Amino acid sequence: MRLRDRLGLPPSMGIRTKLVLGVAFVHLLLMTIFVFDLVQRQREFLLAELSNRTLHHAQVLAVASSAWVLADDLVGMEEVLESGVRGGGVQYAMIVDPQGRVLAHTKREITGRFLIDRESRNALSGRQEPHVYFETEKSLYAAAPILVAGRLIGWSMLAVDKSATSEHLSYVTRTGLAYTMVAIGIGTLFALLLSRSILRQLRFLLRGVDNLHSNILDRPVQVVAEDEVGRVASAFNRALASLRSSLELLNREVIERKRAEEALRRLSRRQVGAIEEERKRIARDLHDELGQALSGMQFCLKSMQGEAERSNSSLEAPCQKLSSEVERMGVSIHRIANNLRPATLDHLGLLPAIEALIAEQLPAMGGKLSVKTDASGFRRRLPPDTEMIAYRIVQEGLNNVIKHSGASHVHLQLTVNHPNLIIAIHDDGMGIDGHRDGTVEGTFEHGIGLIGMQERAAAVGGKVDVKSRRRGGTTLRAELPYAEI
Amino acid sequence: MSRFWLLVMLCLSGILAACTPEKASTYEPKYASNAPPGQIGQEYIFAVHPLHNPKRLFEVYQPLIELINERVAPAFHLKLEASRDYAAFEAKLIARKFHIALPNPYQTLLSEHHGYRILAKMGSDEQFRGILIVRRDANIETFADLKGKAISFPAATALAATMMPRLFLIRHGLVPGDFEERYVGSQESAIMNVLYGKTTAAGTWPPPWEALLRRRPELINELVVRWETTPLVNNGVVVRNDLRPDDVNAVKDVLLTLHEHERGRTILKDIEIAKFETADTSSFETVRQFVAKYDAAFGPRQP
Repeated sequence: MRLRDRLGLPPSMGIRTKLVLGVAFVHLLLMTIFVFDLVQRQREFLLAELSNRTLHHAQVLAVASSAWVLADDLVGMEEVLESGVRGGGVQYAMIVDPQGRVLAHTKREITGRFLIDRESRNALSGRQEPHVYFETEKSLYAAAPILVAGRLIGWSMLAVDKSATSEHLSYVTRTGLAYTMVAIGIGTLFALLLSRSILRQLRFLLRGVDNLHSNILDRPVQVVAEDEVGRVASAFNRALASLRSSLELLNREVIERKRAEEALRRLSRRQVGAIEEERKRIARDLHDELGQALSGMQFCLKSMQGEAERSNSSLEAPCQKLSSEVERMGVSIHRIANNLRPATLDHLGLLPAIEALIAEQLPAMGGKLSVKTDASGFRRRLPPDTEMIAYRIVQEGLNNVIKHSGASHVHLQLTVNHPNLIIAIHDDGMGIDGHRDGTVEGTFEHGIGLIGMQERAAAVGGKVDVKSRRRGGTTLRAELPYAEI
Repeated sequence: MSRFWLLVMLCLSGILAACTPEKASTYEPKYASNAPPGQIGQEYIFAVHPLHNPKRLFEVYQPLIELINERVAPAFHLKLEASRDYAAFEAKLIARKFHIALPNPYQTLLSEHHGYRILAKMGSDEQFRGILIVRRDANIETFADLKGKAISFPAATALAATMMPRLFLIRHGLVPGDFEERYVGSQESAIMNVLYGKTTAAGTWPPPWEALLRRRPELINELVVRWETTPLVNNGVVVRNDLRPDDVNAVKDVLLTLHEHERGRTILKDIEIAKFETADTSSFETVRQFVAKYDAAFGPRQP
């Protein structure tokens, strides 16, 4: 666990707050130790001094009263006590004999009585030297033996008020607390000033980071310090300049690449257009010229067959066979011309052309494949290039399904999602990975068909994606922008 | 509250803890009218008149008290008591505070009028004389030199130190009023007055003078005994007449046999007598005669 977590500080606390709190806490800790030590030393010193003074006081009383104790002179003892209790915070004083009988007391009514409490009795039976025999929160109790010729003849006992010492300790403590507060205040002020100096550069740096986050790269961080943070700011500026330079280079490359791609796309579109135009011309020539020639030839052969039939000539059979061949050639030429450039596409539009394509190709599968077309709402005509490319993609896609997928169902979906035409062909075949088992040469993704589809789509700024799962069918999805064409 | 603030509060409480008193109990001594059981048995007060200052008196006579206490225990024990001055001693004697007392000869006679009887007396009567001390540089050679001078005495009723020197001076040509009498409370005080020039002469008697010289032998270079009186009967030992005879006899036995053993002789040496002697009222007849002459010379004494 981090220190911050241990201290329970909020994670969002700023450096300034941390610095100020840290300095304040350090001051508080150090001053606490200092004041604690100071007060303890003062306490020990004052108590020792009070103890020594009290013991000295008791001893003076003992010495001064010894003659009066010897003379059992109560008046003399009282005079000694009266002079002895002046000053020094003496609460009371008394002179007792070794048996604990009070010979004289500052409270005269106590004279003649016997001390009976345990502490006093212990003091009387204790060591025959001045000693503090009890101490309370407010008072110090001392006793000094009255010795004459080494013989104990009594004790002087007194109680001294400690309130002056306690008050002085309280004063020292209050002063210490005040110093602590002042130290914390000064420390905090210095921490604020220090943090202001340190954080100024950091604030500029953070602003630079924010600018970087907002992709504003042309505003370097203002360097106002030469310390470590200032060096970081300089390094940040260098990195920012390098990043700006790299970004400009990258942008130029991207622009150039986009230009190149656009040029390529235009070239590709022209190429596709040229191909389609060539197909169209070939189809027209086939239809118009060769078809007309075959029709003429058919007509001649029909005439020849009719003459032969009427003349019962042996040429009837060859003419009939030849006429059938010419007719079959005409059908083939029509089919070839239609494949090169379906006339339905030009005359009726994409959807009828696709429906005609499906109707034409399904019989070849012998009823094994069903195609569902979903083009609800798709009735509009699109730019000719787009329709042609869409037709070719559908044509190539269906061709791939028929050739490689082994599917039994195909779902074709045409959607206009302005500004794109979206073509989706999904089959329930074995998927592209199934062919990797090795039954078909050339994979789908690397096949010329897909590449051709992608090139065609790219010619109009579109794209073609294929997703396939092993034994889970294949989905071909093409997006063709039409608005820009 | 976060741990940080708890830590801050802990620091502040640390400072405050420094001034927190550790001891919280209160205490007041307890007193009773009677002594705790077994503390005090039968106690007799043994008083000595102010031969010395109280401490010196204790030093000299406490060994005697301890010896007697050893011999008479556990029947009773003695407690030595000094007095501030002669007047205080006589006041307590008249008030019958003392059970046993060692008064001077004059006070011995006085005690008989207040319920005491004479039990014994100090021996070595030849030492019981008065002396007059002067400074060596005071040029006091004749009694006439004392005329108009101040003489310090312990107390008016100090027989050897005051009464005998005063009567001695009268017998040698001076008359009352030729010198000023200053009563300064104790033997040593009288001598110190001369030493420091406050008085011209001091009346005292040999034991305190010799004791002082033992402690401060250099004083012999400054002070000198100019005159000494003829001796009289030494101090008496009196007992209050209500004491149990057995107790009185026990004390008397110890006193009268002191000179017979080493410890006793040591005590007697400190007291500066050879022994204690049996005495009665007749033993102090010469004192009565002296007092009569003294009264005749100076008139009735103030109590």
